[in-house]
Amino acid sequence: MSVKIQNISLKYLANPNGKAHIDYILKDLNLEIKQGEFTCLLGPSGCGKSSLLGLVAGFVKLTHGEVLVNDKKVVRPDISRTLVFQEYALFPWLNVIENVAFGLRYQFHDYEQRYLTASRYLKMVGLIDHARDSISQLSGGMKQRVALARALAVKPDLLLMDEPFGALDDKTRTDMQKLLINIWMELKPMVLFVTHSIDEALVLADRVIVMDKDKQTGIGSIKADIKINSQRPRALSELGEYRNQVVDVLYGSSACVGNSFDAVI
Amino acid sequence: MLTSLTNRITAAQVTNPENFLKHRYLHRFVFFTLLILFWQFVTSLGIYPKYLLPSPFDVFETLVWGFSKADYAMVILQSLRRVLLGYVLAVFVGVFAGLGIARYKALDNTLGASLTALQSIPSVAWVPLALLWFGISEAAALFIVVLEAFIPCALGVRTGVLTIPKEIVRAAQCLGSRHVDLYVRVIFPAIIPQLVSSLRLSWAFAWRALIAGELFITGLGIGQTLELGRSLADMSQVLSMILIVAILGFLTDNVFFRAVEKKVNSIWGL
Repeated sequence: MSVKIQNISLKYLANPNGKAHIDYILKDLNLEIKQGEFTCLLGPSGCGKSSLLGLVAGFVKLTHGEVLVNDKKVVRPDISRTLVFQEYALFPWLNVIENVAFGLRYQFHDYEQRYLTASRYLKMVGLIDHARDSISQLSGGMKQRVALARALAVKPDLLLMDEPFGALDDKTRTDMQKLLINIWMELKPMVLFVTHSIDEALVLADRVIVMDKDKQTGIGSIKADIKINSQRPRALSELGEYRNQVVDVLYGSSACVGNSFDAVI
Repeated sequence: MLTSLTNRITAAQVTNPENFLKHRYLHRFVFFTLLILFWQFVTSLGIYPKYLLPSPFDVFETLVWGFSKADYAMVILQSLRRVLLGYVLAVFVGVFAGLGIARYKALDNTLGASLTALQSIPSVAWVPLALLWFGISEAAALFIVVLEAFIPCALGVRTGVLTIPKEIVRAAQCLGSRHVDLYVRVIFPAIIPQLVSSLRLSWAFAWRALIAGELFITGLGIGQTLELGRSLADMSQVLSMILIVAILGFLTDNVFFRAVEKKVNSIWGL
């Protein structure tokens, strides 16, 4: 199993002052993700990382090139690639377990089987006691656990995560990172994780793909592909060397930056 | 001074909601008692003849007579039946029109734009047309009700669909939901809070249109009875019917729809 992103370009109809001019967000970009790999797309806002994720998911139409998942061309969103969003995107009219079972409807005809599968994933994210709760009763962290269980329950080939922990407080965020890594080590799906936090990328990923956009053309491209060969669970203090590498790529060797790109402006 | 007043009200509300409710009912009771007393006072002055301004007691008497001896109960039931029939039709048309408008840009540019224009036409304006097309029959009233009531529903569904968070639809799509399934399992449930407020508005429109329509048609109904009161110069009957319209409107809107809205909003986390 693998994901191949081949020579893709994405045009973007920018229309800031009523004057339509066509611009590229991404141009001739290549990337391959191997079986069981946890890949982070790291970069500042507007570098095209979320657009890239949208392309892989199948929401955004490519201008050129193709995305292959297990050698099958991506044409529309489907159950082999599920998404976890920053804003959870849960269905408020369904309770917790019904949310998790949403996609299972297309895989199992049997209600019992759907229920059992959903329960298993709820147990995995530690929310089995909340199976019958309504979504509006949950905290942000709990909502994101439900979203994670919902995305994993259908056994996707590729799990896409678009700044999933961006709306959470620091402690919850750290807890969620640990939970995600534990689940990932158990199930080993391919993960494509978008973040703008350097530390988050370093703690989670096998590979950190650093992206940035060109100042003149605004085209986003891959600046570096850094492999993190460190045992999990990781402590940030051991990752200083990798961190310097990322900072070097983005700001040059003399730069001094905080945790995330938000901190530097 | 205004601030201190608002502070007091909010404080009462926060510390003791029951107390606040009691106040609300007390206020209403006092207000309506004073209103009726004032009405009684004006009539007792004898400036206006009884057939122009009956006393509250006359109206009450007419209501008692109407429900016990005459057919007021049947009148109300017939009007309710008629409005419900028109309402159901209107909602049916409105929901599908709204979904269509939200789905196809061309429909939105044409039909969607005309709906706003159509909404500005008061229901009475359709009466001559309806009477010529359908005669002085129930169909004429139904036509007016449907025409009035489907518009807020269609516009509400349109807004509802267009304001569904993009992520909700995307989440469903990547979990495998498509086409009709996407509409049934995601888009429709997602717009329910918006739909309920539209249904409430549609109901108010339907109710107004019905009374307007009934004034001109034959058969049993509140509007007809109202009009009969006019031709017999029986102002008590006219006022009784107006009271009934107001009370039914209040009960459906403030009691029924408000309760549904509250329930829905709590589930949807709004």
